[in-house]
Amino acid sequence: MPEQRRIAETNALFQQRYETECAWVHRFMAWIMVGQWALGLAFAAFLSPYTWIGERQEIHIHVWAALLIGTSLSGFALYWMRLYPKEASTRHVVAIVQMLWSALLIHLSGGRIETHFHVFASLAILSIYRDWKILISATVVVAIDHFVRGVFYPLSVFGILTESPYRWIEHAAWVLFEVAFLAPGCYRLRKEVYELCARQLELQDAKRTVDQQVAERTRELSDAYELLAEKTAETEKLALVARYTDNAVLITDADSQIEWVNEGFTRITGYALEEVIGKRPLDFLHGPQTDPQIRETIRNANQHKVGFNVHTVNYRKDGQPYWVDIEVRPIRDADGEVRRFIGIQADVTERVTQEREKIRLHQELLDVSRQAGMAEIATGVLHNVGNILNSVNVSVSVIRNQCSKSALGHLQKVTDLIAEHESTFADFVSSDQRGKKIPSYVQRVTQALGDERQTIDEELVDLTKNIEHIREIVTMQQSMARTGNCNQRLELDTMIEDALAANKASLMNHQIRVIKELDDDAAVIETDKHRLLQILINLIKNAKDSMVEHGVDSPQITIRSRCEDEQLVLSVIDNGMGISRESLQQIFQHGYTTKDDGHGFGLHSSANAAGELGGRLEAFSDGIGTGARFDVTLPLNPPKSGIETKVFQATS
Amino acid sequence: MLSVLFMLPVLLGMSMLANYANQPGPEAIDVPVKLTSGVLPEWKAFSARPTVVFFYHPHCPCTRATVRTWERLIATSSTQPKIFAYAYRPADVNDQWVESDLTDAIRKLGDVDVIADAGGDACRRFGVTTSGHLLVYGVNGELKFSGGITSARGHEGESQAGDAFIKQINLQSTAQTHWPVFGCAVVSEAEGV
Repeated sequence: MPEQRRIAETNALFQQRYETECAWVHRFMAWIMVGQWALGLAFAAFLSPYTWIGERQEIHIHVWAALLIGTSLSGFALYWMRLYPKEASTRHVVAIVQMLWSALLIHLSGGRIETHFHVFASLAILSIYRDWKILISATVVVAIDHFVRGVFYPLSVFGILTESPYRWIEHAAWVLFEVAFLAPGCYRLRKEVYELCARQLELQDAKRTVDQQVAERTRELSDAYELLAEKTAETEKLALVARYTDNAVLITDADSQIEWVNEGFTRITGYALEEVIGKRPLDFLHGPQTDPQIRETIRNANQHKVGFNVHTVNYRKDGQPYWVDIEVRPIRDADGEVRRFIGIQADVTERVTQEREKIRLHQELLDVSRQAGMAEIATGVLHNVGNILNSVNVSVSVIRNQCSKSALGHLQKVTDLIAEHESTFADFVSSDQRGKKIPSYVQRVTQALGDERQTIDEELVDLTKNIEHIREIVTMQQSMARTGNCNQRLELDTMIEDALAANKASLMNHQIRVIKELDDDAAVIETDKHRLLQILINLIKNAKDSMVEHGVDSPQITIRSRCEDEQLVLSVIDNGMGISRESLQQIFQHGYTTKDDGHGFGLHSSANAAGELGGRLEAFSDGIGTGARFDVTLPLNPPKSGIETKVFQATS
Repeated sequence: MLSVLFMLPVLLGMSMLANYANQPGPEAIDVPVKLTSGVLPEWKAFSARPTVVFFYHPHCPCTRATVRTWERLIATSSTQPKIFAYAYRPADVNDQWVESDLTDAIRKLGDVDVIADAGGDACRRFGVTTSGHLLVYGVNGELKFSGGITSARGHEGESQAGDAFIKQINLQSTAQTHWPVFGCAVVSEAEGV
C-alpha cells in the first residue's frame, strides 16, 4: 500500500533524523556533563574549600562531593550515552543525571538562589531532545529529591523544622509548571520534525518525479533540439535551394495568393517579389498561347486544394512567352488542412526548342536514312541481280548462238527444194542426185535440231533458275527491312552446286577448277537459303575475278566445310591475287573495293547477311599474290525465334 | 547493575551530603540572658535599637550563607541594631588572620564592630561553639534570639529562624527564641566551652 509505505518511510526517516539529532544533543550534553563536573569542583573549591574546627581546617565535604558524586553522575551519563546512543533510556538517564546535578550544584552553592535556576535551565536544555517523557522523568527526580529531603531533612529543603510534609509538592509543581510549557513544545517540535520528514519525503518523491520528468523532458528536448538542428540545417539547405535555384519558387496561401517568390522567379518572369505578393499566378502569368485546358486544370486544382504538374506557356513581364514546367504541391498543417501551396516553375523554353529541333532533325534523318536504305537496297538488288544477270546473259547468248547457228535454216533449204520439186518430188527423190540426199539430210537436220533443243532446254532450265533467283533476291531485299525467318534445312552440297551454277559460265570460260572438301558432319544445315546462296555466289564470283585479274596459270577454287564448336565454317579459298594487310582492314566496308569496276557492295552485303544469319564473315590473306580465304561461320542450330540482327565485325 | 554501580555512590554521597548539611552544631550552653557591660564590655544600652552579638569563624564557608541570609533580611528590618561580631582568631596569630571576604561582608551589614576573638575566649564566655551563632538582645539587654538563621549548613535561603531573627531586630516578639546553628565549629567540643 503506498500510504503504508509512505508512513513506514516517514517513520524511518524521522527515526534516522531524530537519532542524528539525539547524537548531536548527546554530544552537547556530554560537554554539559563535563562542564558541570568542572563547575561543581570550582564551586566547592571556591566557596567551601575547607571546613574549620577552630584553627584546624579540613577539606570540605563539598569538595569531595563535587569530585566523587560529580564524577559518578557525569561518568554515568557519558558512559550510558556512549553505550546506548540511540536508546530512549539514554535520554532518561541524561535527564535524571541532569536533575541530580541540579540538586548537587544547589547544595554545593549553599542553596544560592541562582543555582535553583539550574533546574529550570536543565529542563530547557533537556527539551532540545524533543522528548517530553524525559521531562517527566526529570520532574519525578526533582519531586523525589524534595520529597525525600523534605521528609528526612526538611531544613535542607524548606529551611524549617516544622514544615508541612507536602511542601515538596509545591516545588514539584513549579517544575511541572515549566514542564507544562516545555512538554507540549517538545511534542509540537517532534511533530513538526515528523511533518518535515513527511514533507521531505514528499519533496523527494516530487523531486524524483520532477527529476524523472526533467530528465525525460531534457531527453525530449535534446532529441527535439537535434531534430530541430537537423531540420534547421535541412531548412537552410532547402532555403539555399529555394533562393539560388534557377527555377522559380512560389509560396502561396490556400487561396493561391502569392506570399513569397524567390530570385529565380524574378529572373525568369521579370516580376519582383513586392510586385506579385497577394496576386494569383493565373492572373498575370498566362496569355494567349497558354492552353485553356491547362488553365482549367490549374483552376480546378486550386479549387480542390490538390497539387498538379503541368507543362504550358507563361508570359514574362515584358510579354515574351516561355515554356514552363510547373509543379505545385499543397502544404498541410498538423490537422491536415491545406494552408499553403508551394510551386516550382522551370523555364524549359530552351529544352522545348531543342526538342522541336531534334524532332525536326530526326525526321530529316529518317528521310535521309530511308532514302539511303532504299538506295542500299536498290544497290544490293541490282548487284545481286547483276551477278545473276551475267549467267542469264550467258544463257541467252548460248540460246542466241544456238538459234543463229540453228539447223533450222538447213531445214528451210530442204523445204524450198521440196517445194520446187513438189510435182516431181518422187522422181526427184529417186532419180536426182540432190533428191536422193534429202532423206538423209532431213534426218541429220532433225538430229541437229534435237541437239539444239536439248541445249536450249538446258540453258532455259538455268535461265529459269537464275530468274527465279533474281525474283528471290528482289523478294529478299524487299523483306530486309522486316524481321522474318526463312530458315530451312538445306543440303550443303546442293547449296554449293547452286552457287557454282550461278557462276558456271565464268568458271568454264576461264577454266577454273573447283574442289569441294566437305565435312560429312555438316552435310545438312538449317539456315536462310537465299542469304547463304547470295554469300556463296559473291565469294565464288570474287574468287573468280581475283584469279582472272591476276592471270593465274591454274586457277583453282576450293570450297571447304568443317564443324567447330556447334558452328559450321564454310571456306572459299582461291589462289588469286590475294589481299593486302591494309585492305583486310577495310574490305568489308561499304563502298570499298579493290576492283577497277567494283562497287564495294558485295562483301559488305555478304558480311551483313552473315551477321543476319547469326554468324560472321572473315577474310584471311597473307598478302598480294598469296591468294585469299573467306570463312563463313554459321551456327549449326540457329535460334528458332528468327534472325537476329547483329553488329558485324570483320576480322583479318 | 551498571546503574546501581553508578547511582549507589551518588545516592550515598547525596545522603551523606544532606546529612552533613543538616547537622547543626552543638547547642549553646549558658548563654547570658541579660546583656551587661560586664558581659560585653563594649556594650551600652540603647534606647531604641537592639544589640546583635555575632560569633563567627572568619574562614568558615558555612557562615557565608548566614551573612547572605542576613543581608537579605536587612531589607525588612526597621531598626539598625548594634552589631558586635566576634571573629575567631587562634591565640598564636595576629588579628590579620580574621580579615577575610566574610569579615568584609560582615562589616557591610551596618553598625558593626568586628572584634578578634583570640583563642575563642568570647565564644566561651557566651557559651557558643558554632560559627554563625547570633544573639539578639533587646533594648534592655534581654536575650531575645539565640541560634543560626540558615536552614542547613552553608545553605542560605528563607527560614523561620531568619524570620524570627528579623522580628527581634524589629523589636517584635517571637514564640521561639532558640534555633539551631549550622556552621563550622569555632571551638571544638573537646576543647570545652
